[in-house]
Order: sequence, then C-alpha cells, then structure tokens
Amino acid sequence: MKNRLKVERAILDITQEELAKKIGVSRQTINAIEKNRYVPSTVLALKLSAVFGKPVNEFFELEEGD
Amino acid sequence: MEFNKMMEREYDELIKERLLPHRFKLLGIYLSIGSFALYIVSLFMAELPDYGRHMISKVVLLSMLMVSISKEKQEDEMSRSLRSQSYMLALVIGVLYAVFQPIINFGVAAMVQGSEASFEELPVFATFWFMLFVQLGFFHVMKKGSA
Repeated sequence: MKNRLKVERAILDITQEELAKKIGVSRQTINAIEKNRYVPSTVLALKLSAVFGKPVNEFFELEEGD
Repeated sequence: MEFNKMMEREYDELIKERLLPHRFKLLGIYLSIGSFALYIVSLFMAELPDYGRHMISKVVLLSMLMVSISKEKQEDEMSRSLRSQSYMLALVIGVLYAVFQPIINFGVAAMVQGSEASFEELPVFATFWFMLFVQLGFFHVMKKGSA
C-alpha cells in the first residue's frame, strides 16, 4: 500500500515527532508508515485523517497485489 | 456507540493493560544480565549445591520474561504488532530447536564417543532461555528496522 504521509506532513509543516504526539503513537511508528514498513490499523488511519482533514483514501492507496 | 466504547475499554483492559509498566523492562534487563552472569559463574563452582544453580536459572528466566512482557517507552499498535510477530517466530524457532538440537548433539556425541553416546533431551531452562532470547532479539531487531 502506497501512502502520501510525508507529503501531507510537509503540507502541515509538522515533524514526525509532532504528528506522532497528535495521534498518540511513537515517532518510529510514523517513520515505519512513511517508509511502507508498517500498515496502520483503521483506527490509526482515521486519526491521521482527522489530523490531515482529508479522507483516508486521499493519502493511502492500494497497490497492485494488495 | 456505547457498546463500541465498552468493547474498546474491554480490549484495553484485556490486552494493553496486561503488560507491565515500562520501568519493569529496565529492571528486567539489569536482573537478567546480572543473574545470567551469576549462572555462568555458578557452572564453575563445584561446591554450589544443585538447587542454588536451579534457583539462579529461574531468576534468569523470570527476569527475561519481565523484559518480554513489559511495555515499551511509547507503547502503541506497531509495538504490539511487532511483539506478536516476535512471539510467533520465537515459538516456531524454539520448537525446531528443541526437536533438532538433541539430535545434533547425539550425532556429534556418537561420532566422538561411538556407542557410548546417549540421547538427551534439552533441559527446560535451555529451551525457554533460547525462546525468550529469540523473542527479545527479534523484537529488538524489528523495532530498530522500523525506526
């Protein structure tokens, strides 16, 4: 699954640490999501959606084979 | 909505809160290193009674278990997922180790001692120590790999 987390974070001009604090996870988790090493749960995806003010499918996208 | 909140609270109580607070992780690390060093020393102390060595080995296992079931500094869904994966890997590798290591030991002993070689199962301490070591190792490596 592809994601635009890094771009969305840049638009808000916040660091991984700041985003992590907003949604109650560790900085490592944000980093792992950005690098496609970890796919977040629906709950976490919805929390990200609330921070970015966009629907989940605008920053998460299925890839071929998913 | 009320039902969902109730389910969420149940989940929190059942899963998240079952782990020990993070401070137990540090305590467990110090205890396991100390007790393991003591265990190694005890192997060379002929005058130490068997029960003494057994007690030390139990402290090693309990302190490693303490590390294993303690929360991370920032416990979140990824750390829970990585912990689950590491337990699964430790179980699979641990069972394979417990099954095949005695066979390898027997094979080596048979080559060296011939017909005098005897087949011995792994002691409980060695099996559990290995499984906990694998679990903690994989958890640490996967966590660093994600960072």
